[in-house]
Amino acid sequence: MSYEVLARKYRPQTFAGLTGQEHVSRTLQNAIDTGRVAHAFLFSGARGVGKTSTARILAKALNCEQGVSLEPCNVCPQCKEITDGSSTDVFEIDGASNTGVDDVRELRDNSRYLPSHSRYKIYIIDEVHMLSTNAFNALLKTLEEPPPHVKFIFATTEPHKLPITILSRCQRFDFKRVPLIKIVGRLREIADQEGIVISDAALALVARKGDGSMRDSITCFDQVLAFCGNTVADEDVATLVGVVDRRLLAELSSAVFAGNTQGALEGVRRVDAFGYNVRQFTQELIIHFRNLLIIRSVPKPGEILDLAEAELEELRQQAGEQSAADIQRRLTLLVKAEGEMAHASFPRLLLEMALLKMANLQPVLPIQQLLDRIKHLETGIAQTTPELWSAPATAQQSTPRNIAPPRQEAAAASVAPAPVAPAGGVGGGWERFVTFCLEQKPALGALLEHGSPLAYAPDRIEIGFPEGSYYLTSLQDVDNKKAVDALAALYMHQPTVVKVVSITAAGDGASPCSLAEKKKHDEEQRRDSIQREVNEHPVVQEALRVLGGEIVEIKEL
Amino acid sequence: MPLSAIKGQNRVIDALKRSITANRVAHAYLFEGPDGCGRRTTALALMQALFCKEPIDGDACGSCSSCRKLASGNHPDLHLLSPLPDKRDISIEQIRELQQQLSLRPFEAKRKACLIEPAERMNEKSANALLKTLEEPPGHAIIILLTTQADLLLSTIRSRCQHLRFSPLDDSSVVELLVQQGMASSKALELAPLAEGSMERATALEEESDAVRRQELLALLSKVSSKHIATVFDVAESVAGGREETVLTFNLLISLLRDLLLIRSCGQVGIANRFLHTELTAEAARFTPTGSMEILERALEIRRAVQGNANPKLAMERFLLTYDRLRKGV
Repeated sequence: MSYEVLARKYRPQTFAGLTGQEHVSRTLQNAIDTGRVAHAFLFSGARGVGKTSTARILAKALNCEQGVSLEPCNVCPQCKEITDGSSTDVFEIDGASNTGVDDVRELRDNSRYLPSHSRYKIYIIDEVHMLSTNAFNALLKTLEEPPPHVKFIFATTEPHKLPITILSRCQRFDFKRVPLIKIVGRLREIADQEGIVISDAALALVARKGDGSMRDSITCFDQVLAFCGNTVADEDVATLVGVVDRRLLAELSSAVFAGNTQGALEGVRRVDAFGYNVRQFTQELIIHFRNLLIIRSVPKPGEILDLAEAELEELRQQAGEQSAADIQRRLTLLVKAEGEMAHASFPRLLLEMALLKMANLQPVLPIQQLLDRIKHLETGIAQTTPELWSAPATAQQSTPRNIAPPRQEAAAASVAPAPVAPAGGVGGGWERFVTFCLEQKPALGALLEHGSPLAYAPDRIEIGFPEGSYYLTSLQDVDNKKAVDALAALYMHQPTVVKVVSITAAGDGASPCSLAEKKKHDEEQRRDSIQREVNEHPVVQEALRVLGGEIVEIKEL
Repeated sequence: MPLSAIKGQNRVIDALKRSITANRVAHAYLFEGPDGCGRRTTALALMQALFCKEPIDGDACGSCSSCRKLASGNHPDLHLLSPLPDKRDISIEQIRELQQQLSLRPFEAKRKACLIEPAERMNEKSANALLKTLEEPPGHAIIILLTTQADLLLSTIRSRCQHLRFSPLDDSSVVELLVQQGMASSKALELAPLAEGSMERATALEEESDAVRRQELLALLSKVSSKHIATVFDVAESVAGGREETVLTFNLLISLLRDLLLIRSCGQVGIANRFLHTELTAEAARFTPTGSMEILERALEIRRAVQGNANPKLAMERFLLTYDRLRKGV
């Protein structure tokens, strides 16, 4: 016959055999003892802690031919049938496969009939959290007031998925995770019965792998036995269970601390070559960094870490000069990578990236040190401030002087080629006249701004416009002409002849520039000088030097 | 194929052979490992060994009728469970059908066998529906689950199986297997590192489409520039395809980007695309180390988005724009 795995072979058959769930077995036994057995139970808890086993034991205790007893006899036909799963009155239903309301209706209809040859009709619904909402609701009435010969036992790993109406109708038992020491004890019993030689340390490794679940631990134990036969060596267990070599962890952490990227990646390659699960390895690495962190941040790490003095010393050496903050930042990177591994297809790549980041991390400075530095800088600035800020003051004072000459030069330059107009006089008078016109008649003034003053005297004004331009035609318009004449007379306090002439493109150079052109030119000049001023300003230069920037744009505020 | 003929998984094969000789074969196994590392072959070999009519030392003979039927995949007592062609998941109906099949007597062998691949494709309902069967299969059936990532399975499923982890094949095993398949040994040596421990990939590489594709992608990457924004959209247009296809493209891109990162941060050691190393070095020089790290992160992120429901073309455009931005080190 084929092999029956240990987890099934050593499934507990009595309340006494249940490991780590004494609170459940005692309560149930007391209930049986005092005749206060409820009609509906809910067993919840993590995987592999004994929910289904307890359900079967309870069923046997209730239906045993020896009478309702504290422990089932396990020898009567009833008990045996239940153990085999062939009892006609104990229905073990897979709640995850029979999820529909129809399944529940069938169950409800059948529950009305008396049990065929037992005391109770017992429905064990395993994985009950998978029932549909309709199925749950269809069960409610029966669950509240079942016929006296019916008992319900529900088992689930996810009680939060059950509707509250179901929960309130059941006696609920929460199964605890099994403590490590009890798992080891149970494994030892199994080992003795199977005639297996194995050390306690190896059993502890196996038990730890189970993470509080008895079935996980026994499955793992089975695997170890399958590999090692009846005599189990400690090293074999370590390899099989996938316990990561401490030296590899130490090498990786020191590579990371030393900023040795190559060493870190080499470590990952070895992890992969050993056939470790990358995610599991990352978890081990996280624990390792946690230990380092504790070593660095707690005065007496020995009390928190369950490690031998030699190991502590080793860790202390590895932590070296690293500050707790630095270790913590690396730990955070690892934890993040580990979280991402759960739903990524490149666990190795994620580990590599995390290690590279960890290796390239710059050490952080304590805030106090930074504050001190800032304070130091501040005092330094306070001393240098007068000279730094005096410079712009002088620059500002000199600004008008600096800017003025170019403006005059520019005016001269622009007017110089105009032989007709003696720059200053015509320019100045003309400018005032245009300003006057702008005040009186803005539209007209705006037109005049574009004209070149060919001649300007109290009795005669001659304005030139580019040939064919809009301004020329506008001013040649009779109404505008009259308005200009009137304004000129008003301004000069005498009748003035205003002549509007066209300037040919060729003759452009000979005419003085219009006010608009002049404005534009002046603006350019001003920008140039501001830029020059900014570039030469000592504060700006200092800022550029310190921050290593460049001037992209200058804005006037 | 008998168990002893399987290459490169000595640790696992050893464990299985020992459990056969010690008569400790469990009824439920979980084989975890990357694609193409021999999980399926091993699972079938284990079943052959269990079903064999004239076993040699507990291993399959490979020549009896049962072994031959299993090898050709038409043994009446072997049930293969995979998502239906047009479905994403293994449905609860399929699990129910399996339960019903397993409850019947085996036709020829002593027990029934079932192979579920890929096990992570069981959705919440079907996985839960399997739990009871997996714990106590009727008629001592053996159930083997294959997965690339055991973490994706319910903890209640994992706790009911013996968990065996397959490591990626080492390069020498890949070479050996490729030569066995009739490839010239020089070429096998060249391809082995690219296969990253997967025979599936190695066989795909054989058609050279993969290597050529990597080269093309790298050339396209180096060409992309936001100064000529049209290049970004042209490349995205030409590279992006359907969802599956784009994910595969991203896998290649990620492999290239990883090499860029490695070159940038610790020299040429351990890069996968060694045949492209001059081009890669040139491209890596345009990145800062942090830039090369960030683009890899972005690529992983965008790949995940494509696996979700992102528009493949938009995702590719986004990737290329990010690539260009990070390359300049801004």
